[in-house]
Amino acid sequence: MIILMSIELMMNAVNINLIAFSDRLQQVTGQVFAIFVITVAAAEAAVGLGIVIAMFKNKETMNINEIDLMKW
Amino acid sequence: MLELVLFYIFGAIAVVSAILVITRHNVVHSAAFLGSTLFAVAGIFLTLHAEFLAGVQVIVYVGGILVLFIFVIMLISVERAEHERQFNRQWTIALVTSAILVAEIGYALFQGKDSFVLPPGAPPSAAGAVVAGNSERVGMALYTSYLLPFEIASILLLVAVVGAVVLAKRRTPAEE
Repeated sequence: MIILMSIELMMNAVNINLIAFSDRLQQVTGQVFAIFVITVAAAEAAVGLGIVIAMFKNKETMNINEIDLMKW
Repeated sequence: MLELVLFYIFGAIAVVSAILVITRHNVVHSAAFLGSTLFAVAGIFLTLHAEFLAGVQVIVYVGGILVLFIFVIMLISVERAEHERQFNRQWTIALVTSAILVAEIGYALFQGKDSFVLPPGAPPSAAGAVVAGNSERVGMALYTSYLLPFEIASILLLVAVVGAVVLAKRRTPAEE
């Protein structure tokens, strides 16, 4: 859960960087790219939370160290 | 001057809440601090003359992604997730790696600090926003130069929606 939130934080950091350079260079490209980053973040959050729910149904755990369903 | 003060205030709020997001043991508290970070980042966008992005940030992140997080926290049992160890054994490696990254970025900024000075006669930051509104300029760029990436992003969203539904749906008895 915290891991997914941290990914969102990193995406936000990238967005700040993009928009700062967009403002600095007087170009709108950085803002357009920031919109794409927000889109990808939304898609990633939806899929990631779907995986978390599926994992919780199967394993009844949230601990990242116990999640090893792909091990055989 | 006011802009600078606002930037420092929003930046301090964003950094402090971001640290609190990763150090709180209760997941609900983390989600609340994530919300305050996202609002502060929207404020930073406003000081950087990106009004449209600030609105999108509040609507998509706070109104969409954060609510999704809180929904999932409520769906899975919070009590069990509450008292788990926050940091893994790898935190020393992570600390060293991020320290190296900070040093690298700082060195690059120090080397290139001469190029931060605007050349004389360059337009002030708000000049472009006065000619046409920020939303208009972003929209023009999005639907002319960046039309194909825009369509690809929409297909990505469709795939993500379908994938999330497939991952989270309940198995029907016929499948088992």
